[in-house]
Amino acid sequence: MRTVYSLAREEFLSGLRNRWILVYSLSYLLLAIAISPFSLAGLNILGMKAVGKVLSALINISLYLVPLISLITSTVAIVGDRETRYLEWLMSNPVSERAYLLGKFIGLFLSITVATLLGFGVASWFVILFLPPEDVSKYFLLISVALLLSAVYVAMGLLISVLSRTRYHALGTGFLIWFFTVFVFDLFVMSFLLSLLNDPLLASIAATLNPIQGIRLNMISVIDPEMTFLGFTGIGELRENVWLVLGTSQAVVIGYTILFAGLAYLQLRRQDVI
Amino acid sequence: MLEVRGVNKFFGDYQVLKDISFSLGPGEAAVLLGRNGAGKTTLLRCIAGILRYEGEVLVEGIDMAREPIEAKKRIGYLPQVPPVRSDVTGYELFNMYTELHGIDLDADEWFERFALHDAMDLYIDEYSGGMRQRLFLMMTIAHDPSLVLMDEPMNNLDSLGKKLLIDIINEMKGRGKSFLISVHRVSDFIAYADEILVVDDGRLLFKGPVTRLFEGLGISRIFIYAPDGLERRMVEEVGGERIGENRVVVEAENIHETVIRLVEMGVRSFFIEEPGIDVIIRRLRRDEDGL
Repeated sequence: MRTVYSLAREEFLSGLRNRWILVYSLSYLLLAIAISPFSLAGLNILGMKAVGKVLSALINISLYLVPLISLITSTVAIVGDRETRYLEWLMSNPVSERAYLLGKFIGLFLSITVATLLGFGVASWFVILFLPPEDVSKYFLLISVALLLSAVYVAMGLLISVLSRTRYHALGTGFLIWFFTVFVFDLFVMSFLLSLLNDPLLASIAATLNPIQGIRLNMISVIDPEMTFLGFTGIGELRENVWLVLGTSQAVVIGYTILFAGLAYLQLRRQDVI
Repeated sequence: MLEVRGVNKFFGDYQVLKDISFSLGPGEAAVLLGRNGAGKTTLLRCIAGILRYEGEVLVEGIDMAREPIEAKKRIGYLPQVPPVRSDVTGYELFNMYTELHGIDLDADEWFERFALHDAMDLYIDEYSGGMRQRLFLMMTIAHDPSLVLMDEPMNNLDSLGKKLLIDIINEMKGRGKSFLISVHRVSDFIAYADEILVVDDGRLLFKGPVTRLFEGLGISRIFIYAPDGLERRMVEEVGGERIGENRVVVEAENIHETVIRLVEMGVRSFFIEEPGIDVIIRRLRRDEDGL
């Protein structure tokens, strides 16, 4: 465990110095500016529930940014160590493939966690000012769900990194995966599933195969436990089984994380590390 | 100290190492000699447990394939090209290295010893090539390994670094530590290498004392500054070849006799080129074929 701790700490520090992590945190700063008292006032004048809008904005930005930053940092993590010959030196020391991978995962996840907390922290001034105390917990629940999304994409990125021969190949694959899971899945796969299954409950459960969809449902359930956003279509069955959908999605996300990390480990064991 | 038994290594269908076997005793320093692409680096990486292989590598009796962590604790490895990282300082890396080996070292003292004290807090990509080589040399030996593997360690080292390296090898050899050092040029290590291993095309062509390799090795090249009048005699009597004004090169079969002859002829200025790796391998292959 000491080895994992040392490797994770090194990865964590190096992650915090990563310029992409900085850009990531700054994006939240922009959001914080966007949700200035003036814009909140504007929304209120228009008769909209400002707090709900702000949280929705946070959800949307998280669903794009968290997977992106997780993939950018993790896809280059192992292949980068290979290219800089750091891995050659590191593996001549008493370090197992498992400790190396675990250290990478924990270090990367923690650096993204800190950046996310900083980002949400910057944007959280409105929580203190505008949210009633019982809603503050929702805000922190949203952060936790965002971190769950980060875990699955870090594991996915590490698998891509192990399989890639160059940093460019790894980054390219990472972007493709991000694009597919964030955009394409929504546009085509979901409509295909809905038309094929013709059952909102089944389609919702199937949709959780995409971790982003699962996390989206979880995030929405935080601010809208009744799932009123679903409207009237299929509302009955789905709203009665909302916890089934949420539970499935959480299990799928955790399962994916373990699956991707496990595959990355097996691949690392199977091939030469450099 | 080190036992290598029947090691083979394939990259796909290409066999890089072919049935390599040898051993090194405590306090022995062996030089690994070979042309580019002969398999020297691959062999060192297999022994260091970085690459997988077929066969057996035992470090102090510990099987590298079965107990890699225990075996690696006993090894120090200096890669041919030290890593370059822009996100970790020398001190941070050293700190992690000591934790990985479970040792407690005074970083100030070690960085001072390797003339890196002022660079402790620099990122590794801010180090010069020589400084980086010294940093990783430090992290090759600071855990006091029983077996030190070095891949072209003289690369990038200035005279200070070279002296440091030689002092380290002599000091550690005196304490029974073993060395396996990959080189291009024999002359850098001939002073303290006990054994030479010549690798060619993935095979171990020769293993033996340094002196045995050079006995009767034959051709060495002598570059001579031949004053006026001597130039012609050099060509006619010693079989030299004129390569410029007052400059002659002689390919000597018997280096001792040729040098004595040259001195007797009045030559005072000459330079003997060490036998190149090609000459050595040609000779070993000739011996092997029984020619």
